[in-house]
Amino acid sequence: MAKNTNKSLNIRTVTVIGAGVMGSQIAAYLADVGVVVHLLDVAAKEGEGKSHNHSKVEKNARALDAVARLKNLKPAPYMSWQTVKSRIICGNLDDDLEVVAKSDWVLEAVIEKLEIKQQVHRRIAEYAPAGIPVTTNTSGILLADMIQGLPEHYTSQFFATHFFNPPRYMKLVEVISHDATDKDLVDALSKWLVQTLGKHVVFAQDTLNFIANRIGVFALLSAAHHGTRLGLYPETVDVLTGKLIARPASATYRTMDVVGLDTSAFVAKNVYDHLSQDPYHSHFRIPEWFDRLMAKGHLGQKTQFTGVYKKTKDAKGKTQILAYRKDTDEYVPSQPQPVLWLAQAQKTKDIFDRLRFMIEQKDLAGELVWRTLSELFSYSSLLCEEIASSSPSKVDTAMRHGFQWQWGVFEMWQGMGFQSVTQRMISENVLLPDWIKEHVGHEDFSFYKPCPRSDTWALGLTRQEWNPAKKQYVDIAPLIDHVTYLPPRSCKDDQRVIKTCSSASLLDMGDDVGVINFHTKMNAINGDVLDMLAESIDYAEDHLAALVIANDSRAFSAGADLSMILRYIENKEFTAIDDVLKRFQGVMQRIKYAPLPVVCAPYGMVLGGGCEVTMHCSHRHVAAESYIGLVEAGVGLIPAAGGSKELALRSYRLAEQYQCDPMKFLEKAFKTVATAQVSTSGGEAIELGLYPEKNTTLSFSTDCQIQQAKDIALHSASLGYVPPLATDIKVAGEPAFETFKLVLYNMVEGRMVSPYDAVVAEKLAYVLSGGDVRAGSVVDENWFLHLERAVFVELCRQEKTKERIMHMLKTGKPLRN
Amino acid sequence: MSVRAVYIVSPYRSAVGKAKRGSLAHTRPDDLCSDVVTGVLKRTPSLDPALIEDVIVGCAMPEAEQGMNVGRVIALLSGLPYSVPGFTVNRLCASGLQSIALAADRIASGGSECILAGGTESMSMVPMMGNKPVGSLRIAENYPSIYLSMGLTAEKVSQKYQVSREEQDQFAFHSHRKALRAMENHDFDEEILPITVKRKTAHLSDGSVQEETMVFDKDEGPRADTNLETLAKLRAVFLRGGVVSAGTSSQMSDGAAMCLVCSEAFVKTHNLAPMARFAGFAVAGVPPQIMGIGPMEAIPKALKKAGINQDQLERIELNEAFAAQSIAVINILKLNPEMVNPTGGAIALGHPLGATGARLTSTLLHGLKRQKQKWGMVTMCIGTGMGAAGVFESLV
Repeated sequence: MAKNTNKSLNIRTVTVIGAGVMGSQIAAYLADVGVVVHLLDVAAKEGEGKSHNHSKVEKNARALDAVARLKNLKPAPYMSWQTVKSRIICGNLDDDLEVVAKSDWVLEAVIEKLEIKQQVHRRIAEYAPAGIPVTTNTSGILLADMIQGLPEHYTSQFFATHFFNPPRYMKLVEVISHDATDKDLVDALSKWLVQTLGKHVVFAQDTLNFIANRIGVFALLSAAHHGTRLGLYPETVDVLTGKLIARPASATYRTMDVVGLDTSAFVAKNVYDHLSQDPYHSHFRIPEWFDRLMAKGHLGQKTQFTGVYKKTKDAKGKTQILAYRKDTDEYVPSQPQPVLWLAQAQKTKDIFDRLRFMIEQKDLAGELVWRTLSELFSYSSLLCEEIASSSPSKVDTAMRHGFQWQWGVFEMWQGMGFQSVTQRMISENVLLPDWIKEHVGHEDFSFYKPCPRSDTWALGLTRQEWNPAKKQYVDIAPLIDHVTYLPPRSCKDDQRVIKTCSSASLLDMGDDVGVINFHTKMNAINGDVLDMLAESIDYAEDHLAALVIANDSRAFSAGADLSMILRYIENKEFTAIDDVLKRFQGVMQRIKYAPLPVVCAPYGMVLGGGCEVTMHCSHRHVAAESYIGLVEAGVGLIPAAGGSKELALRSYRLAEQYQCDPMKFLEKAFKTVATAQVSTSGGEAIELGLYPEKNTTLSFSTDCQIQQAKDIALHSASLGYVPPLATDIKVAGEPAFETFKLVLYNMVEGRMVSPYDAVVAEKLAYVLSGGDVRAGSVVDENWFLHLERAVFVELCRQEKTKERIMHMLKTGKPLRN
Repeated sequence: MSVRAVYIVSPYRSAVGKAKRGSLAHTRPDDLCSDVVTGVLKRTPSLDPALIEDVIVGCAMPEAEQGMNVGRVIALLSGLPYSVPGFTVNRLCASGLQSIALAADRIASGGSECILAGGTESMSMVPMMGNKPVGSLRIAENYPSIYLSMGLTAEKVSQKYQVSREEQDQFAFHSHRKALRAMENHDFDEEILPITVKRKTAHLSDGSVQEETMVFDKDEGPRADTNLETLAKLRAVFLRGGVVSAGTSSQMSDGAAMCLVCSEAFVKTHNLAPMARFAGFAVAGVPPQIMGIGPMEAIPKALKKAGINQDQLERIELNEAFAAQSIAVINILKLNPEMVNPTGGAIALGHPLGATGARLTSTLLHGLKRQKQKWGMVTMCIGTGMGAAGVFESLV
């Protein structure tokens, strides 16, 4: 596969044409990454919009209104409203098309009607400079049809970039080119989508609905078809086809409600009308009861939450979910039919064990699961060559990132046992292509194999896949070079491993940079992880120029290992807790004062102790999609691995720098930690005061974040890294502590917090104030660490803290006792 | 020592602005009050300002823009000769009335002949509790409730005296209605001194500074669009599951009010037209956690000092800190509700803390004059657990 071409795009200005749901949200996301966006829509007619004089501003009403509407969307389609406001410039197609001439990329996202799209592109073609990409955000129209009648020079710069809704959160972009497209241009924009926008790009063929929607909508319709046939209620189908089979909780019908029944039907009809040779053609005919709902205007969430489900309030004002019954044409309270084996399936943690168990069940529910999965395997393998150029990984990537499936089709098939599943399908005459059938009986066949070569690290290669057209395994080549790595448990003889244990490892990234990698559950921090951090710094002091801390899973780190703390509490080993904290704090101090840069790459969940690790690094290169917080208060504790200390130190330093009352900064830190606030993006961690503005940068690229962190570490080392200096601190002391108590007193009296919340918050206030000493008392960092530990141990002795910890371990949710 | 009669001359006020987003949000409280002083002097043309012996200004949070002994600052800002001294007095919400009472005592004892007294407050510029609230460990040990937020004290009063949410909403609704009707009838026109407000804003398109001048002479608080339904929908803001909402609490405001307090001899010599005789004043302490009941103790004491009975009162300006405490006071003392705040109270008109006592005095005296009534009273509850009341005998 063509890897690197020299062409790279500098995209600074983008014109988005069409301010609909997708156009406006894509514009917002582009603004977030620093692009100036011209958002154009049809000029509003007289009387449309807010004012009635025919000025230029009013003609932009459609784009202006679309931007204003972004504020109401949940989850938020942007990270900063300020950015959206200042970087999106609204315009209209009558007056402003010349901005196309100044753009680096033009993205068209107008209504899905062929004639309209063709007409819009004819107009763009008048202005578009040669050599810039012009793409359409179509979800189903063929490019081959769209380019009819477009100027020839234009077709070479024209292709499709299909984003998924909501575009900030859905990582998939399908890129589709046609015969005349300049392939270098496609490659360059795709790299930009990965590198700057943090997307997963899948190159799809110019076939109807492309990959994700073709397979995904089939999966929904197949489940709906068999559910209806077997007489299962919609809510029963949703229980069986959601989380249990590694799909989102919205499963089948609720997904359609969210998307809109009309939109779902439109996509299905597109296939039904145009692809009579589709192997499961009849599945794409919408069930009659769907038409009935649509005729009544019940389209799902967007029509007062009425579709297959109906959200209402009962007599007491409590939210109640009703479900549609097709036989009686009415809504009744949602009540799934009993499934005898459901509890057992839910208890089975391993997804593949669970799936094997479920398809063995001989009742209607078991049949639904088997039919849904086997038809999905069948359909995907039959179409793999035509729609995904014989690459199973394209199908899997598309489904993971476009439909939020936890596992792709072929990954799941392989995980459940290729031989047994396939043999059963053959025995039941399920349609299968030859390339599948010919592997039956070959026990060593699998769709994926680990990459055998050891030099693949730097290229980001980790797997090979079976290519049915080439009849051999081929590398799954990433679009861009980036550092990726597997936790060493899956490559024990890896040359790059410097140190390893079951919980963490130190690996060589090359260029004298080491990477520390946790690999516990949710990357929780235990004693072994701490040891690995300390040993890595020991090693780095002698052998390395810089260190990176980067973890590979959904969460950078969910924090300290709570079960360990609970054990100590139950055994009343409170000195042991103090010892653990001393060790934790000691390691954090070593990170902070290491003679070399230690750069972390937090992303996903960065909570509690995990957040404290990042706070002590010399630099944080934070993934834009990060959820960062010091959440200890939720379990009746306070941050005591230096987190409270870091916030206090920063408050006092800022106060001294700006010659003002430290209370202003301490109050902010107090609020953030006492209420266990978690940021909704990487950038928000700065706004919440968790991360300093200095030495914190944002990464929008999932794939490149670790590579970038390494670059930052190396750069910092090459500039001559100077570790921070420990300084004395003048604390606010007793008056500050009394003032915090005054605030808490009113919060308790007003029942805004529980009395125990206030107990915990008061301990935090105590630490932030620097203890109840005279104002202006001079202390050092160790003083704060001592306060953190003393308070933490004291809280551990409280029954209510114990209850909170036990509740969190059991349910994953905080207890407000 | 003989006790002399005390007269109130020219009690005027500014209109009351909504704090933070109102017309006075960017007007300093010292500037505002000096404009009121200038207005008072202009309307008392026969008085030589050099004869004023002291300026007493009530202010509840005397710091920042209203700090540095704002009483003296205002005296100088108003163009009074430097020989006229000034000082600040703080009894929180009673400061404005307390300054008049202090002046009255000095006149009564023969210590002075003419004193300017009143109050000012910018809640836009100085927040309640001040810019840097710092708790005291020792007071917190014995009386933690002096730190209780005012809203929570109102919750406790509504609990103790069983004042329902519906009663409070009704009370608040009528406060707005009464104030709006008074404004329609131009009832406040005479007592309000128009204030010229200057506003400088950045004009981004050409880089110039735009200076606007406007005359502020209408109270901003009363809401024509409020009704019982919207009031009932407002959430309790101080206590989860409580009954006191933003709609049944006084508004945060900016304002100032001043008057002249003189002896009989001074009035006669300088040909002044007093509006009332100051007949008596009292303060009383109550438990801090139910500070709202303060007037229950202060009103009987003040009546006794004035030597009149409660049923002689014809008009009462009772500061509506909260509907809950106002209703409790009216019920327990069996005040005639028709007589209380006939032109609306602080829930509608606003409560610029330190100015309120003087604002109420101005409204009371002009109201008594309009209605040709004789005996009137100004009373209010005070944070940290107190009440104050002053009795006035109208002379016009």
